[in-house]
Amino acid sequence: MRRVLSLATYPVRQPQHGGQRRVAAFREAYGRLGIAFHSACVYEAPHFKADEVGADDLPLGPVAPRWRDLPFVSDLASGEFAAERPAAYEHFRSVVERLKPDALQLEHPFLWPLVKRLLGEPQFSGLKLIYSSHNWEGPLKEEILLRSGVSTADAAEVGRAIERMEAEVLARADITAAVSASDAAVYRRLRPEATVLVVANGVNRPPPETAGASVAEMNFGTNRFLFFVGSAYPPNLEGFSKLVTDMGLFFTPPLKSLAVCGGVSDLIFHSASYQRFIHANSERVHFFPRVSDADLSDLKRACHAVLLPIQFGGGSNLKTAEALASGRWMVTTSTALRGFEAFEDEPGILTGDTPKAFRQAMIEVLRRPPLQLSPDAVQRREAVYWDRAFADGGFEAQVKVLLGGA
Amino acid sequence: MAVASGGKIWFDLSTSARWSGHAVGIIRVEQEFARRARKHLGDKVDFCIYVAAGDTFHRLKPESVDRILRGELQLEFSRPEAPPPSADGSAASWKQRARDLALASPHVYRLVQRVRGHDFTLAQVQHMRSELDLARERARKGQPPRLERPPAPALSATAGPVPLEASSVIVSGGLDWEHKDVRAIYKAKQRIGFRYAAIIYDLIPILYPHFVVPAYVDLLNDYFGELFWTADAALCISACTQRDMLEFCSENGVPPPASAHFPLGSDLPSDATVDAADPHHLLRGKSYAIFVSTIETRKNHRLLYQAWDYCLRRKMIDGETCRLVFVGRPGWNIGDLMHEMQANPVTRDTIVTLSNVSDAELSALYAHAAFGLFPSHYEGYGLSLAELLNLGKVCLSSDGGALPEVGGGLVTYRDPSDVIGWAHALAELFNDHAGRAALEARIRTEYLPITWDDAAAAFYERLNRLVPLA
Repeated sequence: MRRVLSLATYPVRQPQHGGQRRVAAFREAYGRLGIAFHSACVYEAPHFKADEVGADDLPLGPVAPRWRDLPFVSDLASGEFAAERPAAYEHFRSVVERLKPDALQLEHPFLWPLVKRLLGEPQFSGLKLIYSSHNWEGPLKEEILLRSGVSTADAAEVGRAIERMEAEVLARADITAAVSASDAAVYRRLRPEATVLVVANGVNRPPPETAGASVAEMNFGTNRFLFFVGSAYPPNLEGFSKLVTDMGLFFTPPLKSLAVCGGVSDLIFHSASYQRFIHANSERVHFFPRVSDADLSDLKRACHAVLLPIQFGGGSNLKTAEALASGRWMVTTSTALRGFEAFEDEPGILTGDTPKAFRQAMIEVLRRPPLQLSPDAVQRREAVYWDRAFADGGFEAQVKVLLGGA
Repeated sequence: MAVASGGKIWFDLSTSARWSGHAVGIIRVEQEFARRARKHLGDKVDFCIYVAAGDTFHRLKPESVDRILRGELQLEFSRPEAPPPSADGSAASWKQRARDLALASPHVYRLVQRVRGHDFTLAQVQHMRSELDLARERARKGQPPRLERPPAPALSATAGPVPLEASSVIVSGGLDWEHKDVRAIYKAKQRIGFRYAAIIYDLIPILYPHFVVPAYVDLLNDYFGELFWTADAALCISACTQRDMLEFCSENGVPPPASAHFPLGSDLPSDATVDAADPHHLLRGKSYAIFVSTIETRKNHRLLYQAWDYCLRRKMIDGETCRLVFVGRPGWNIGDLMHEMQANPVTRDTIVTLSNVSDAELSALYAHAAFGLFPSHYEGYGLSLAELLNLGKVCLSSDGGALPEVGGGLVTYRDPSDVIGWAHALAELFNDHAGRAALEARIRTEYLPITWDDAAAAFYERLNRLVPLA
């Protein structure tokens, strides 16, 4: 049986955030090809519980002081840690030796130092490499650092270092799977001879509705409510603070009318813009910081509109695919629609790129009756499911060429 | 909240019940309308206070209403059921001295009281301080103290919870952002279904937050953000405020409450006597223009200072015989302006600032003024402008907010950012005595003052129309 080993900077046993869900979708795609998929990662111990990590996952250990002085660079530090710490490198080397994969799949470019060293060893030099891009990371990281108060020079230096890494990965990869046409264009420009495919972010087909109490009904009754889900990732907080909570949530009555789900909940609760009107917000917002897939599906199914207040970031937004699949109203930014440009003019999507425009879109959508999509529109939205994304992007065909069948 | 039969209009006196001094601004509006409520509503009206501790409206005893409206009864809401403080002379005296000392710094006083478990707003502490200043002034002049007893526990003045039902109407026109939990009232309304009518003075903290003490900006955003979901009727003190309210609702997706506007009265308090023979000693023999207002950024004293400086440096106004008079307490964020006025050799002796003036002194200041000024960036009404016209005074005013609505065609308006325009208008009013006299004559014959009786008639007509009793 053919075998692929995925290397990432987070575990994927219990996919929660967008990156984890994308890796999980690859696992499914390989499964359809009869290829076994294993994963190993370097992870930040405090962020994951014991049952979320696997035997081949390694917690991030002590890192060089330069990483400790900057925020949001633990992924970069993970690459250096895995490649240069003897015990860490030996761990991953033994995983590769044990599993004997036909190919390594690198999630994001950050563990490239590890992969580069592994592929430099004679016994592993023949391994194929599949680069699973989640974003064009160099410019994205630079922007995150700048927005976090890091100096322009330091942010640019980190950004350049990541771009160098991305260029090296592109040069070595047998297949590169980008998340959007625009990212793919960048990669082709950087490396014209590279095999670059677009595997847009997608969603799983919804589970059947389960009998029993609805979490949406229990918390919102018959009230119309807006829905937002996000991981504890800075752009999620920043977009929500600027576009949703900045002027208060007084566009809804003081009743529960906004579901905030996922790891971003804590960040939002503690943010200055939320705390400014904490009493008013508490009347209106219900947080679901750790929500099961079933409850998340229930909330998405029951909501009036999905909010996508994303102001910056690369790649395509997995949450956008989920919102499209939900068939609910969407209030979004143009940035959040990146990778889903084909849906820009679809019914049910209101776009606002400034706080005022986004707020007006939320007000407008709350006035409208629940969205009813035509059968044609429903059919067009089929393209956002993962199985279609892999098939439409030609990934499965390309992997068959690279690795052969099962 | 208690629920029982009895559809009534409940006039809320929560703000007046906390007040002990001379009724000004919002307190005056609340009291003037409360005094005339029976005349317009008969026995359909009763009076109440809101006690936030239990989210409950309590019916005021009739005698309490009268005493509150006479300024003889002040209620204590932080411990509505507590007994009155001990009358122990020595302890009280020691405590009084400590309190007076701490009140010198309102922030310190607030902090000390918070440690003791009392939560006062900055406005409340500033009011206490102004009361202390007034009390000292009265003592200096040998006058008796205005309020001789300590505040009484709020519930001691009441006769049980208001029996709210669907046909009840609460009328509220006080400092509700300080004293009320509008969210709790919204929930009670959802449950019981009574109606809520609020007087809206202005939306300045939302429209011009840079002119407002920062803590108030969030407080008022929160208040209005909830109020317009809660109120069934918004009674606005001007068409301008009504427009601002409707605009706010539109921008925030809030279904606007039924609304109307009414004017305020401008007849002066009956106890304000004019001693025409006694101008202020700094102004004897001078011709002066007067601006009566707390000195704060929104009121735009800076414009007058700059226009005055412009005029004097160009000899457009005689600095020997003319004066610019500011009457009012220095407020928030005006340190730079006060410093400039004092340091500028041209303005140091020619701009006179007076604070803590008595009603009689203010009346005399008005009476002897050559003309009045109102340069404010924005006003929800502009009562002082109406009062100046009522006194027959020529006025030079900003055209910000509701001021043109109040002044009509009898006031000279200039843009509140046009320093040069104001300078020329000031010079003209000081120098053209005949023109000023002609304007005064026109005001005397054409100005139709709105009395508080007129204002109350308009207010209750609007109220009956917006929230008719079944």
